[in-house]
Amino acid sequence: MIDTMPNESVITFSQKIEKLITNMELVIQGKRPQIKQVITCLLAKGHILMEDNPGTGKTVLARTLAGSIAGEGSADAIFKRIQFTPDLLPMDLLGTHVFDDVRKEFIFKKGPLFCNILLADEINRASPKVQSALLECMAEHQITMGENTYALEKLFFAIATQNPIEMEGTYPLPSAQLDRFFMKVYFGYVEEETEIAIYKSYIQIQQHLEKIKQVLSMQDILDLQEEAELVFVHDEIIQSVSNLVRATRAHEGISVGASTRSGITFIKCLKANALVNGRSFVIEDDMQEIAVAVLDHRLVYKNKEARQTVLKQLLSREMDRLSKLKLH
Amino acid sequence: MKTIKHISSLRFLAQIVFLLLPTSLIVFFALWNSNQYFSVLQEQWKTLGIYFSVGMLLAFFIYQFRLRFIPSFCVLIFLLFSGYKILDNYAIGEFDSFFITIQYLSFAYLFCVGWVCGWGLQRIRFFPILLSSVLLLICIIIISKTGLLTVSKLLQYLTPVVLYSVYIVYTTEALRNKEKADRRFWYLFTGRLILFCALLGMLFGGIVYLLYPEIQDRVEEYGGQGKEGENQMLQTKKDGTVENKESMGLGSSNNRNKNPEPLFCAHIENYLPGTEIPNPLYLTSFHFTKYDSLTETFERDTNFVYNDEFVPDPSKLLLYSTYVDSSKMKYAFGAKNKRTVEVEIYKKRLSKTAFIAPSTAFFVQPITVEKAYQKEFSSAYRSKSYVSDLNSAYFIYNSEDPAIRHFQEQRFEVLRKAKGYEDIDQRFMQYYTQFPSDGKYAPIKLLADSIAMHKQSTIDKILGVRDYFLQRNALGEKVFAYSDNPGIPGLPSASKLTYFLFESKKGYCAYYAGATVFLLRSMHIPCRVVTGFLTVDRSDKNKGWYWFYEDQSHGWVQVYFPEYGWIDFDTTVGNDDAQQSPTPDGTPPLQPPKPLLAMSAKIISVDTLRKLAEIHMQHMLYKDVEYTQLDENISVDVQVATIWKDSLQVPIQSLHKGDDVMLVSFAEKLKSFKPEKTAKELLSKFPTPVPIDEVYFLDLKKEEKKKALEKPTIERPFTYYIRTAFGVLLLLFICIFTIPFWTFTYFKYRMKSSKDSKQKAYYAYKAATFLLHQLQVARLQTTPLQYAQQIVDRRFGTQYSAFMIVFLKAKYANQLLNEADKQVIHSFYAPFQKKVKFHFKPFTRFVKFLNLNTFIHYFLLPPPEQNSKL
Repeated sequence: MIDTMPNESVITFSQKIEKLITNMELVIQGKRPQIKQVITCLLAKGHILMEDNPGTGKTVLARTLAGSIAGEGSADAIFKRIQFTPDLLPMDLLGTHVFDDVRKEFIFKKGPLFCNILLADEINRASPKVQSALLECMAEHQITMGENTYALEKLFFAIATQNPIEMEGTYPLPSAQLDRFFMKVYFGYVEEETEIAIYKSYIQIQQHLEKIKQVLSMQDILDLQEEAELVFVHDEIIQSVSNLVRATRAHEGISVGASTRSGITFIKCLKANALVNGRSFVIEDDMQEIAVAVLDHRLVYKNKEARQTVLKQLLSREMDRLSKLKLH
Repeated sequence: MKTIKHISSLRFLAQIVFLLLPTSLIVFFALWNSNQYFSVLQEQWKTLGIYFSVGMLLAFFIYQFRLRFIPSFCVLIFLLFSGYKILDNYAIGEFDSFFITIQYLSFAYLFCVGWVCGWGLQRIRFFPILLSSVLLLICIIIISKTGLLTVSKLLQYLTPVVLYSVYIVYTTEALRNKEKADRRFWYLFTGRLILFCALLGMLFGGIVYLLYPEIQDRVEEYGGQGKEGENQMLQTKKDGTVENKESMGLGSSNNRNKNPEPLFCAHIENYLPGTEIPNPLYLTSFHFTKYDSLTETFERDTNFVYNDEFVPDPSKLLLYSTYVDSSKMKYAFGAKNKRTVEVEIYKKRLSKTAFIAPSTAFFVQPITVEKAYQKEFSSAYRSKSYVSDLNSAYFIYNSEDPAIRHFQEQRFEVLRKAKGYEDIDQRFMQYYTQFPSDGKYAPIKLLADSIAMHKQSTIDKILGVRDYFLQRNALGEKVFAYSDNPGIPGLPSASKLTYFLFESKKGYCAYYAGATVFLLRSMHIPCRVVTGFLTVDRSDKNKGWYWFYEDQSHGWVQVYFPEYGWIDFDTTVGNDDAQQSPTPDGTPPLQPPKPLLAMSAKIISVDTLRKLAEIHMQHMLYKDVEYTQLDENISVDVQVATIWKDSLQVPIQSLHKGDDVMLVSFAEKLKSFKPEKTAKELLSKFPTPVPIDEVYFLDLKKEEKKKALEKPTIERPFTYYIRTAFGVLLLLFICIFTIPFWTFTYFKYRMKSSKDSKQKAYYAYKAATFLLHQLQVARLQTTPLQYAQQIVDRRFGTQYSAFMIVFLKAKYANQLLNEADKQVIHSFYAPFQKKVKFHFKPFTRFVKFLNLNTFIHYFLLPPPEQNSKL
């Protein structure tokens, strides 16, 4: 039967994803939704921006993810981390031409961007020049230096973090550049019980982080990314995405609504999210889970109140519409 | 969340019971009251009340939700208006369209008013205050329209409205403040309400009880006798016809309607003995024997047995049938100078039910109006009265006419010789000389004594009263004058009669008659007031014919003389303005020949060729002698007969076996016989077949049907309509409140009947969500799958999420369902419902299924962008 085919493949893929999540949860406790969102971004071939107070586990999450995929071998993913500071130059990211004494020519010394998983820590502390260089690379998947163009790795996943409270000495990302991130995830504090559990077992967690096992190969990730593209999206879901995106443009509380590119990104993320949840089709729950993360940072609100309510309202309207639909 | 919803439904129910129900009742009451004074309402107060209640209920219900009043009301108005336009265009027939339009308009108005009330009660905090003030205003208008206001009537109108006003304001506030209602909500609230109502009732009752005398004074002062401009003698009935009032009040004015249309026309063959001067037979309607000092009204009294009143309803008698009753006449006529006078009355604007005749009547027979006059005269009857030759009420009027004067003198002479009252029954004397002992009438007694001084005979005392009214002052001016606007005394509690007699000295007939009765009764002369019409000889063009107009309604006095009976005396002084015929008298109708023989019978057979008929006779009248309960078969000759069906002449062929007919004969052949003791004897003498001149169809069945139709509408008591309205409301409530149940059943039915698995899954999902929604298992902000996983399955231990996964697959995926999925769908619902129901008590489930609020929210889409103002 035809219909069972994707199902079976989905089962094997979802097992792999489940393995990845379980592995990450050894280190990151009580953050399953965030882990899932990160993986969703990874599978949607996008990049993620994480924002929250220091010490909530952003960096640890990125490291864990990298550790779960990256390894020592040549076929394994390479993980790089850059700490963004105000004096960071684009060169420090992209790499630079250096003079080779032996060959008597300039050769290109690859920067840290040539990796599979990049953790760009505290991205908003770097100068706009650096930020835009990074974001351009994320969008283009290639680096142009002078006359030469260098392609990035096939699997290139950037995890950027930023601290909201450090207003002084920061260069906030312009909204046009925020658009390059598929999702913006608010990390948040864990619940009390989890927090106590973390305190009790911080030593083990530390050990886990140090000895994190690689559970998936890079090829697995690439396969999963391809599989995510095959997830089925019902027309009504697409309709809802369109409704939601268009509603943001027409809403009085929003000065700049979501673009068409946002819609495409949204659908990509929905597919990936469905796969992360072990499904070969998108349902309304996928929308509920990622809509805010995907759309919120793309919108320019007129005031604070709108920021807190508008998107949720629009979303809940679409959710209600979907839940009441009769589809067949 | 859950509890708040629960309370809101409870509050809604409480609002319906405690706010809407009393409001409906009070509106019913107000409509019922106003119905008595505004014929616009056309006896439809109950229908109108239902319109109002429905409008109010609907609005109350609808405005719970986020609806703006002005747009929604505009939509309502628009709908009603388009309905009106449609009706206007499609109703067939002019009359129908008019009737339906009126109906519709009254519906629309009342519905809108109800709508506004419902909205106000739902949304506006101070609306009850407005509502009760409007109701009070209406109540006051009704009271001001009331002609004869008494304290009991005042209280009857005012009490419900006042009580309602206080009640509604209190209850609204109490309900509003009951934020945190719990299970004992009903118990506490009802208890408090009952206590409040009891206190209110006691307070109101106490005030009324303590202040009763003062209220009474005020009512006497301002309520008095009707309003300015009201005709004190006549009343206009709903069909536009006119008849004498059943009470005669002393008003501040008497509006004599100068309607130029005559009321009726009478043929009276009665002249003063030996002259061509018409004996002024005053036509009597009612006798007023009692005086109500509270309202200063003369009233009828049927308690006294021998009151000589003969008040039949001519409209209820069959054509040509007679009604004779002299059982109440004991004192009506003496042995001396007695005579029978026949009068024929042809009614124009006079009510069909009214009966007027010279005093004292004992016989009535409806007669036909000749065809040519049927448009002008609605009905006619013939009556007979016993009158005395001495009875001539020209007492003050026309007293300068020498012929009358001469006759009057003769009459007084005869009456002077009449016997005294010594032998008369004490009860009779007591009854007809009763006099209010109220102190304010004491001056009248003194006046009577001064008039009666040195006068021996009754007639001299009466003449003394006449002379008192006719007295002139030193300048030769008349002291007493006629006025239709006598005004009211300055002192509120004073009697209008004493005011008339001693101060204003002007008034209309009721004042003169009333004063005369008071004076005579204080002289111990039995007398009474009668009302009716006064004949005036206006022209001698048509001898014996008299025309009566509205301004000829009159009241005068009858005095009892032993041996002579009741004699009319009219003490009203001449009115120079009145007695002028507004229009020249019309042509009197052609008198139908007096039937010799009238028979009501059933037809047995008809021979249309020879024009003979066999009839079964039940009732016969020959030369005014009646034979009843007959069982005779005779044959009649209808060769020359004209046959009438309603007002149409029909051929003989339309006579059929079994028809009920009235046969009338004027034939010469029958003239020679004398009435016999039994009908059989008489019939044996008649020629056979009996010649018949006129045949009238008696549509007995139609009459019965009419009665059957009329009966229920007339005899339904007030409570019936309350019950009907209540029943309709109840039915409506039941219908509305079972809607959730039927919806649920529908989903389950569709689920069971679907063949397609996807369809089945959909309806199973619908039924499940509906059940959970109605049981108020809050979904909060979760998606259906999260709801199933996190809330439902955890709470009830069901397999809802397993089902939901399959359902979502069916809904969104492009794959077919496999066998395992189908199995999940099939086996999902029954155990699910069982488990869910297990968690709720049956009664809780029942109550929650009645909750319409929840029900509606199930279907509502989320409110459109709430913060659109941002």
